[in-house]
Amino acid sequence: MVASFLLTADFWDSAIRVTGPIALAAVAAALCSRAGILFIGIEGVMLVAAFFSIAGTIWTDSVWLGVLVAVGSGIAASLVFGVLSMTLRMGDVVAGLVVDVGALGLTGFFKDQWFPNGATIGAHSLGPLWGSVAGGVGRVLFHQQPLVYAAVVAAVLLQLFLRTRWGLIVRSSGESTRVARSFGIDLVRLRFLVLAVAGAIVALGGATIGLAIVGTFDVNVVSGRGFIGLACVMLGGWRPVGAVVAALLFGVAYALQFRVTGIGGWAQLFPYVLTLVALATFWGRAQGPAEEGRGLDDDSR
Amino acid sequence: MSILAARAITKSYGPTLANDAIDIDLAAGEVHALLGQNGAGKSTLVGVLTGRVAPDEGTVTVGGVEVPAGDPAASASAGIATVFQELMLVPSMTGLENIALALGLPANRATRRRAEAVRDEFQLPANLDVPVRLLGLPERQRIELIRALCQRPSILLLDEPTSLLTPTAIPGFLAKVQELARSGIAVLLITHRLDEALAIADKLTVLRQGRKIVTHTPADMPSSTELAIEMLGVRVADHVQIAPPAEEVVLQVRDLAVLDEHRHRRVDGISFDLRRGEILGVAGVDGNGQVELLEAIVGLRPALEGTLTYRGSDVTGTDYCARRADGTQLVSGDRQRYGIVPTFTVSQHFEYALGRDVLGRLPEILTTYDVRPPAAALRADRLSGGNQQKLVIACACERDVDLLALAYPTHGLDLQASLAVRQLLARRAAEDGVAIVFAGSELPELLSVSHRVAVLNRGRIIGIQSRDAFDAAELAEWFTHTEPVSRQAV
Amino acid sequence: MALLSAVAARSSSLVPVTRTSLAAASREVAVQAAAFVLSLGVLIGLLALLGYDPGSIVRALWSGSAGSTVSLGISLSDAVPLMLTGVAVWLAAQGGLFNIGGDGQLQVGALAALVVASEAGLPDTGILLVPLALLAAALAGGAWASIAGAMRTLRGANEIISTLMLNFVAFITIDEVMRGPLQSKDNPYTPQTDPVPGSAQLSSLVSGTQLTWGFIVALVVAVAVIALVRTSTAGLRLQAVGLNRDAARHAGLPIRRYWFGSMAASGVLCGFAGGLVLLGLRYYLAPGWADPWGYQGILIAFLAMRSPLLIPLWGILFGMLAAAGPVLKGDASVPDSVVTVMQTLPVITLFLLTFAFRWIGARRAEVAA
Repeated sequence: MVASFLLTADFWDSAIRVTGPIALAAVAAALCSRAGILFIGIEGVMLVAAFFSIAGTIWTDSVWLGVLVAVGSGIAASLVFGVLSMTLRMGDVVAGLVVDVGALGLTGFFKDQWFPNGATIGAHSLGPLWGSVAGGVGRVLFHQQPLVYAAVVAAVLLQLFLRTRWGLIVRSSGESTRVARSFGIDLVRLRFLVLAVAGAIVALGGATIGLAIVGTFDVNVVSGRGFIGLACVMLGGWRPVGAVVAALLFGVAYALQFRVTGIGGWAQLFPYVLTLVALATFWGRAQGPAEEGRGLDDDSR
Repeated sequence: MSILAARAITKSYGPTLANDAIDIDLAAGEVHALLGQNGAGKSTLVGVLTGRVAPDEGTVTVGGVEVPAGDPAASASAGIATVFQELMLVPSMTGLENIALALGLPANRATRRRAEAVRDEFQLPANLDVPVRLLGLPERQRIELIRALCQRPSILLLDEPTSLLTPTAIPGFLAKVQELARSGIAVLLITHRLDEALAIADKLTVLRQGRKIVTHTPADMPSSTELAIEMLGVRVADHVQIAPPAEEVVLQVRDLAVLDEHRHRRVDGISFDLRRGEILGVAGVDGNGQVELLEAIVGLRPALEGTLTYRGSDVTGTDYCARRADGTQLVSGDRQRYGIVPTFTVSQHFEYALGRDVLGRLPEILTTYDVRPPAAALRADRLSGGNQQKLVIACACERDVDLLALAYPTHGLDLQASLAVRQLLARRAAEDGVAIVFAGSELPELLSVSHRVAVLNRGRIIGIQSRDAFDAAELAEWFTHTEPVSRQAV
Repeated sequence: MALLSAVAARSSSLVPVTRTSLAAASREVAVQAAAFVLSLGVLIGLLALLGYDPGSIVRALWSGSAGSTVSLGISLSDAVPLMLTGVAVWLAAQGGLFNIGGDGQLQVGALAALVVASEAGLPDTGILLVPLALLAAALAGGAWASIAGAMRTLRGANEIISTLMLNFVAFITIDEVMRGPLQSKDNPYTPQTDPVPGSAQLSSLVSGTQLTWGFIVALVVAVAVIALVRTSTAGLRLQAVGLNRDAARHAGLPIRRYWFGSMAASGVLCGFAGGLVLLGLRYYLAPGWADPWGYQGILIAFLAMRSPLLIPLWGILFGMLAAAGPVLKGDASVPDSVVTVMQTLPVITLFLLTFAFRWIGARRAEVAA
């Protein structure tokens, strides 16, 4: 049968494995989007975190401390993006590219500087927390890297958060800076705060790549997963849980290429094309937060 | 006994004095109306009272305690709540979420109970559970009102609250406002609709050009005509020489109806003819369909009903690009938004609008239109407002233009600059036979330059006077009429 | 839109040559030079702090980028795509649009050039193959960008996201093509295509170096496009659309047509760059065959937004840095990734300088008041 592999645990196992970091990036990007930030720097932040997850693990000899180091570095990189975009007024796109390109260079440099013989830890250091789980569905659902669950938990929490007092304030920053300002909200401080949280979440994604998927640091090991997170936000209708579902779509498309010979690789195109179609048709104009990527400096007019 | 007292509020924006030592007192249980045309300084005063604008001078006290300037939160905690004209609602959020956002509460059951209590107490029916962008404007406004009242304010500012309402909804709303005042709230009703102010206000303050003209107490309530004259200015405008128009009709408007962004019928059955070389002044209280009318006759806004005939051919469905190529042009008084391209020089404005051929005649054009300094290489955003306006008009006129529509072209200009702009228009009409429709806020200004003046109210022409029979008092009286005064031929 | 008007506000127009505009232009050049020198100084300083020998770094930078004819040839070859993508991004920004899809457009252009040169069965003569391949590259890049342009003009879709997505579609397509339909016959086990026939390869400009006459073509095209936009009425109108859309509409300009046109033209430039790189530098497609020239083009464009004639110069500087990377690693034992870091430093420095000027200006105004 053509699609019998769709029923195998192996396929879903690998699909979800690929989905993990994308989903975390998607949740972080969704948070930023809702606050009005177009987080183009997400790719660079993720790369920094992936590097420091491995470096931290090597330095401290503990995977979890490595994750902690990654989170710290992710927050720092994310705030750098904020400084460039808001304080220096580069705007989200230019600041994002500076962070992305800068992260590429810096991580490559420090890898050569600190780990001239390669930054490698045992592959899959951040494996499932408990031993084998019998049974196909059970394995798929309960035997994943811990940070995959973090993505789901983060998405659900974020979705709930958006209804709280602070969640409403974040959304007002994304939907109408005019209204937000009329309530005396300090949007710069708010957006820095949002970036710090988003940086931590992206960093978990970076750590997943470093510690659970690759196990060694390579230049550009993130290879676009952060950007895919941005696409997931759109495809998921700017809802955190929707973004995670969209991430799974990208994961499945990626896993397909190893299952279907011939056209398998082309299947990767599917989620991107779907994003483009979505953008061009049903939510091209009005769906997203109105202030996304607009910056803060000139809406006083 | 006044609860809010503002003293000597002064605020300038660059050379423009938006508020010039304005005093105002609000008392509990009273509706105090604040009147003025656009640019009179109402918005600035409201900004100061709500803490959104820091005044250069002056103080606001509530209950005898000074409110820190320029701090929205301090104003709110002093008991001042505001319903803004451009509603301060996040469109994608539900009513409940918007209310919660303002109150600093989560959008939960307790907040809902509080909002619903206010909704029921003041009988303001509103759906709190759908994104407000899906709601009509009156309902959105009721949500804003619920939100403001949830704060249990002692002072309520209503900024042009009826501008968003359909005529049928207005009386009910005004009754509601009176009821709120009777419940002990001090209400400031900012408006430029005279009839509404007269209907419900206990006191009336009139602003014009940044100054307080008068405050009427119940003892000396004016007639609507007196009020209109106070609001519009009584000074005799400088006389401008105009030539009689030609016979040829350039534009024929018949039964025109137009919708605004909110799908309200802003222009409702307007007909008139415009001759070559004629200047038609469009008067009225601002926001009665003037801008929509101009946008419709140049093709920037589709006509819902009616026909437009331009130089003998039907152009009803033709868009602005095509109409402009055919000699039509709109000029807006909002120069920053619609006229001036930042960083462009004077000559670049001409080149981009008219093509390169015009550049050879540039020195001559700058002299003709009296743009000062007449320096083609100067950045246009460095010119004064009046010279920017002359530049924009020059860019509009220095081609084969037959129909020129101007929306408040003297907005924000001082007397001299305003006179210069009007003289310019009179010359274009006389020398080049341009047909001009000129919408303005100040009646004397329109009277000085127009062959005829039409008064617009609620999207209809109430009446038209010709130059030989101008009667400013009668025109001002028409401002508050809702039915056309005669079926005279236009 | 505020984002775009902010972008546009940073760009300014080519004012008629007067004393003031000359002063402004030379100030701009001085600030840019300062940004470059400062960032280079900061980089070398930081490396010195880490224990590297500044002398050998400077020597390696020089010898790797301009110390010999060969290294200069490498530098200028690397500048070819950068000059064009930089101008492409600048061009779209003139109308108020962000084209961050230069990489995708470049790769699609290269693929089109490859198909025309190798697969179309055209007569094997350079005179025919080269122009046709380059034309195909330009058209393909333009078509690719037009998708985003059409989405923006017809549906109002954010072009930042759509061009980014189109990048990935292009990358995956190229990757699949080199593993499938255009898989090399000679190397069937590595994912790559066959090189373009020798007749389609651009001939050398200086013998013994990588440099082809593609460099001259790229330079001429880049300068010509800048000059055209800055001196023609159509270019002025495009700038008006970018700087004040409402005013442009009142002046009767068809905004959407300008948007679509500038996006398509931007893609044409990127696609053309792809063609030149394929025929003049890389010759075949393989994984990682292209550097992120499009992204670098964005950095370059924003460096030189106000003085676009510096775009080719920045392209050459970026090319020199890229060329110096391997030498830096070999001679001074500095990891070559510092080159990538260095690409971001001028932008940061430039905005820091602007920030400082603004701050000083504000303080002065405060003191004056």
